[in-house]
Amino acid sequence: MQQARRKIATYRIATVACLFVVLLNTWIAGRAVATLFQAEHWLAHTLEVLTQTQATLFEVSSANNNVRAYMLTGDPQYSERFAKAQKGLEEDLDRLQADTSDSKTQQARIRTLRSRVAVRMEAMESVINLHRRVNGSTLDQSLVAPALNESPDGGISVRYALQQIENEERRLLDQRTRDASSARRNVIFSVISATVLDIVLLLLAFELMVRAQRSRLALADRAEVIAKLNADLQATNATLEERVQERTRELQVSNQELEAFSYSVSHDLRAPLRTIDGFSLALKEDFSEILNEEGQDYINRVRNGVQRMGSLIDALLQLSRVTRSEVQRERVDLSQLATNVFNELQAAEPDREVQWVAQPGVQVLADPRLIRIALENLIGNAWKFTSRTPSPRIEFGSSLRDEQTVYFIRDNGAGFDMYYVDRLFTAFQRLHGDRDFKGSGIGLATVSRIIRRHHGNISAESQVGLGATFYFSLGA
Amino acid sequence: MPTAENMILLVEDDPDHEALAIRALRKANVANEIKVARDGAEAIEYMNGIASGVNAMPQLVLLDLKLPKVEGLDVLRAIRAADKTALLPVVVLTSSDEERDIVASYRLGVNSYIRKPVNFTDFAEATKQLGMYWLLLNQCPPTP
Repeated sequence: MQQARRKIATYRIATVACLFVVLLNTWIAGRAVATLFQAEHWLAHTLEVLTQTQATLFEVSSANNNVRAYMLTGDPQYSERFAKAQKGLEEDLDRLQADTSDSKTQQARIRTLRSRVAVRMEAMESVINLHRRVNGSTLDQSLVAPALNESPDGGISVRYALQQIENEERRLLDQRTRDASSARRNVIFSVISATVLDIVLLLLAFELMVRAQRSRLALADRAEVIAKLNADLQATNATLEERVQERTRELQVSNQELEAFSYSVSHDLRAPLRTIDGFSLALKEDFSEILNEEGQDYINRVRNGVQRMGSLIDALLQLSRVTRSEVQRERVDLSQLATNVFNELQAAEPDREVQWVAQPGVQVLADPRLIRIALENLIGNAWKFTSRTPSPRIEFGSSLRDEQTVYFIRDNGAGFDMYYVDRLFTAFQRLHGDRDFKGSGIGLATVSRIIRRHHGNISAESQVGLGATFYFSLGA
Repeated sequence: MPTAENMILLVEDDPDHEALAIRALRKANVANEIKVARDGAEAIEYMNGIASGVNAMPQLVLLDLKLPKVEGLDVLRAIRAADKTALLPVVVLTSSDEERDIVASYRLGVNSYIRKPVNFTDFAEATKQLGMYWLLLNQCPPTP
């Protein structure tokens, strides 16, 4: 995103720079063209001045010729022509003066020219007047000659003055021609370089445009890919959601089935047991006279079997209830709870002497009802398996294991072979025969399920004849 | 209105349990007349009979929860809904110790909830105490 923004900023700066360069080019070319126009204007001007100079010279010689012709012929037509040339000369000089107003030296020269022309004209006029006075008779040429001929002294020569002006203008013409051609070269150079530069810039701009277009297309492609991915992801999410909901429904259904199952276990399995027990007792009570000892023993065995079946059903129900009920954690004083459980066991069998050692003040966050069932099973096991130990002892406490707090119930009872430790927490798996220790084989499976429902772990360590220790953690 | 002094209505679908319950009551020297309804529908029919004055008002109802046709809890609901039987002492006597059954029974206004133990000796003991308490000690509400 930031890269794209930086790119756009670069494009903007490049565009502004290009625009500036193009404008600069146009200005330089324009200036060169203006210079050329000026140079050409001056060139034309100089040419005009030169023409004017030639015209002036022509008028001067025309006046001279007419005076000479008048002298020879006395024809008044020539004197008229002279007057005309004189007038034209006046106009020519005026124009020349106006044309060379840009140059002070030329003006000075023209002033000199004017005075010389005036002197010449005066001389010619006087010759004409002289001729009129003598009225046709031939004039002495020696009188006329100085007025008509150019004096050898260049200082007063009109022709010489004109020559100077012309020379100056020719020099100017040369210079201005050079200026104009240089300006022309300048114009050509600047126009060509500007054009080349503009073309280069144009190509550059085109390249940038192509690149921008290409990256825009790439972005569009990428956006398309992303959109497709998003759509896929959404579809997957929807499917996933659907599957989760389906699984949840399935789980709910199976939970309901389980619930219905344990409910009917609690009702329907107990009912026939009660019948068996009730009628066997009735049999024993009402017909004890006709039953011998063996028969009575059989009845007792029937009733014992029924009792065992009853407690198995109770244990199974407890196991299923542990799975079904929600774990609701509260602060529980585990030390106090364990001690209470032990005291209840002691109260049920007051004849046994068992030493109880509990670490005080162990507090946990756990479901109080479930954790009580776990402790009842664990301490109940310890109570049971120390029944044949000479000074039995049961211990409760907590310790650190792999940076985790674990709680333990330890006894010095019968213990078990660690080889079978994996079977310990599975329902109906027993490591001791009923002959030695009675049990349902469900208690530790229930404990394991309770601990797992608390996101904790349970493990056991034991040695045959040296007791067992059950460790459990309670997770978070 | 026909009255049967100290009559017990036993709602029980299992004939074995019916026999055992009667035996236990007799063993506990409960001499009261015992009427039996064998399912929920029969029990409700009997209750309707009380309302219309055909059947006698029992002194105590022993109600099993898991019954054919109409559930025990529905019978309890019907008993509590009718004016005449609203105050009738009802004791639930069942195999279930499911918490929701216990809670639902008390919500519907049961007077006592007893779980039938598997062991018949324990059951006989419970029945004896039940008879003692509800038939001798407990003061029943006046018959409306």
